[in-house]
Amino acid sequence: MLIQQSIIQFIEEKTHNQSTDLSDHLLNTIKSFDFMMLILELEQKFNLRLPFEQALSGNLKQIDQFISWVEYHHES
Amino acid sequence: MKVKRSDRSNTNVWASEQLRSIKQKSLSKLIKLIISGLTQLTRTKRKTLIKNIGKTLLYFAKKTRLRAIKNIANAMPELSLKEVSDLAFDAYGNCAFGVVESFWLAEIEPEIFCDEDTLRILQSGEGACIATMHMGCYEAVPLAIAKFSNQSVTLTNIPSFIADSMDFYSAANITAINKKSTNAFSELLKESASNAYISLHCDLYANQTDVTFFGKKTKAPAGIVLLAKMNRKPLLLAYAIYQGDGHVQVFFETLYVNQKQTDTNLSEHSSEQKAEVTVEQLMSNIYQRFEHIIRQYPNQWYWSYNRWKK
Repeated sequence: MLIQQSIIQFIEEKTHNQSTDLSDHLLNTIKSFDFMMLILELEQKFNLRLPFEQALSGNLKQIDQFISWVEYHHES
Repeated sequence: MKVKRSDRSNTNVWASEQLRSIKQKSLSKLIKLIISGLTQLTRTKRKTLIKNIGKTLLYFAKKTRLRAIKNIANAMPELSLKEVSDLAFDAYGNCAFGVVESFWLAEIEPEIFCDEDTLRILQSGEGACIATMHMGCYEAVPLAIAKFSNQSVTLTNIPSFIADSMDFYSAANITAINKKSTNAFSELLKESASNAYISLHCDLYANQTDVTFFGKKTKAPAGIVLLAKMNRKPLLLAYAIYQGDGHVQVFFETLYVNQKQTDTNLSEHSSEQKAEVTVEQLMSNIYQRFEHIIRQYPNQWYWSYNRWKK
């Protein structure tokens, strides 16, 4: 839940939009630069290592998919 | 005979694509013709000719000229108006040559300068992220990297119809990713993760990180620093300088190495690197070095960018 909050808060700060649609495409919502910042922030905040290449391919396009993916890496 | 509306619009699209293709082919052929003419000349003669063309272009490009003059006067207020104007023309001429040299990259033999630790990083085959600037020969840094590694990667603004047809990047063993392509970002990340040496120009304006440059607050692109941090790669800085005889010297220096890399790869490390350095701190270091280098070689930097946007 904390991860979800962090990601949504980050996106809302960048987009100045308080109603994030979790089915939106992450890289269409924030800039690629901000995507890298988000990964670094999450790695630092939750002390984890994210194989970000996966986030750029396959089934991790939507924001909710990205959240689940980060949570999965946090739990494992 | 009546033509249906959808057919008509398809025909228009087809016609405009054909026209664009013809224009691109003609432009590509024209550039090839000019380049083949230029390469008949010695490099010194080419340099003189292109520098003079560059200076002439600046004379007629009022907006570009005024921006260069304004930038130089703000950065170096100690210079007289004549010195500022002379510097603007000289720098523009040098940069014109620096850009055109991309077309015969494989011919250029840069002299490379770096310390032993940096050399070890360049020869390790483990990749690095290299912050570079629009100075001297623009593509000399990826070219110099290609002397050490088969994975020299950069971003390019040159339209693919020119770059592909002329093949000058691949002739110099450089992988050039088109900046405007939709997957440029993921391509860069993948290349970096697979131990490529990524060199990116970081001296332009981008609304990403706050930096101070020549005493003024501005913003800068921080992609290279983020790439280095995400992939745990060493961060280097490199720049190319033309010598009086036209030879290119490329200088590499190490800015930051992760603690893990420091322990395994480098013989010595500073205590500063033990703490995690932020993106902003690294960008600030890069821009301090950029400013120092530009002050050392002011006639080799491209002054006409709208670098200090408001």
